[in-house]
Amino acid sequence: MPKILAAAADVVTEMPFSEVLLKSVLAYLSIFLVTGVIIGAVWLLGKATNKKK
Amino acid sequence: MLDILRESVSALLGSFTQLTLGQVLMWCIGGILIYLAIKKEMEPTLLLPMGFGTILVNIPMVDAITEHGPLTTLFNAGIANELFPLLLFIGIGAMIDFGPLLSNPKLLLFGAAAQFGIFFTLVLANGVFGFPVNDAASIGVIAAADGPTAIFVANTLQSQYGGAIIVAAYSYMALVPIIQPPVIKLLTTKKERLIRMPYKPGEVSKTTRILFPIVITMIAAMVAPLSASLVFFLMFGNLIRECGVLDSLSETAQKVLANLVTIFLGISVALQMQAEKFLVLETLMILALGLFGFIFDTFGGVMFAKFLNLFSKSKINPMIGAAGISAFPMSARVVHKMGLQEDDQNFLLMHSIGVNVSGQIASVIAGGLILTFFG
Repeated sequence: MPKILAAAADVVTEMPFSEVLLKSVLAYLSIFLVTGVIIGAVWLLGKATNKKK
Repeated sequence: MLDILRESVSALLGSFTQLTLGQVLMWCIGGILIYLAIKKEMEPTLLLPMGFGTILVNIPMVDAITEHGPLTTLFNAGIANELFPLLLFIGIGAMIDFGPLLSNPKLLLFGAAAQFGIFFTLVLANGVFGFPVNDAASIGVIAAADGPTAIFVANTLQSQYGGAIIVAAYSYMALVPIIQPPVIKLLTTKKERLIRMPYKPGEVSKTTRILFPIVITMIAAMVAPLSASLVFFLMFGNLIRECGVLDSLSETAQKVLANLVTIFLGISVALQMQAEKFLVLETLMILALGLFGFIFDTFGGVMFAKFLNLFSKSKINPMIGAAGISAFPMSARVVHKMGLQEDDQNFLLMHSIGVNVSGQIASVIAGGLILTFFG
């Protein structure tokens, strides 16, 4: 059966440590960015659904 | 006649002659997993089939693990292609009530903060322990305290330590009531633990509850496309729960589907518990790193809450930050119990539940970002 994520079929095994460190920091900060957007979306949803009332 | 006798004896005793010490050790490990599942009730839905499967796959010459054996077929059907964890997420999504989170969406930030342990462990695994980056990333995801995400990421990144990663992930999830309290006490003062947080339930409309899973999926998929599968299946489960017209599907997802997939998952994951794959030094390192990950997840959540208290007029009990790991609802209950132990009038449950469900979302997003940055 094919993998669901064919794009990840060729995985990276080696990476300079500085790149690992930088990407880890960026990925962690990205979670805050995504959750920030979600918080904004939920706030807007709340406003929109309350307005309808 | 003698040849027939010799052949028969060889067929009957062949397994015994090929049995290795490593395989016997794995039988013991399988037995321990079964003991933990039954006697200590530690994640029995997974540890029991895993334990029993571990015993089976370490019996020499069994056909279950040959190329077309049933365990191999199940593994290829649902683990190797990441399907089982995704199906399990439908059930998990159907079980979660996002109401406490939707009434106070800022709690999502605690879920985000509490994923710190994933990346700290990743850096440690790669920089100090020398794991290749795909294995280090897979090990880091143990700290997500999210079994399906850990399985999904480990398989997508083709980690060679899938068995150890899964055992670590589910074992530590069950050990949350033991791991988190001492870490929380170390990071907080008595005064901080006594902070009361009155709960004012906000009204969450049904429209918001229905639109939430759709909007989250779209946002997460746009930002981290490799998280789309994880987020979609989780949110699909939630959508069938919240829509109000698919009660039978929701109940099926929460009970029948979740249980069925868990059975298949537990049995098929055992394929990676063969002695030659599991009994390596790296397994011990992975177990240690997994524990580190959980500890630093707790650290991330608690320290974020303390950081917010520097600027916030209404103080946050920093213990709720610890509930931002994805071990739902165990972590929320641990924090609530600790709050009551300090002050029997301090009810932190609704806050910690809100943070706990945010951790579920954040761990899935973290898994997707791991695949995006390290895949």
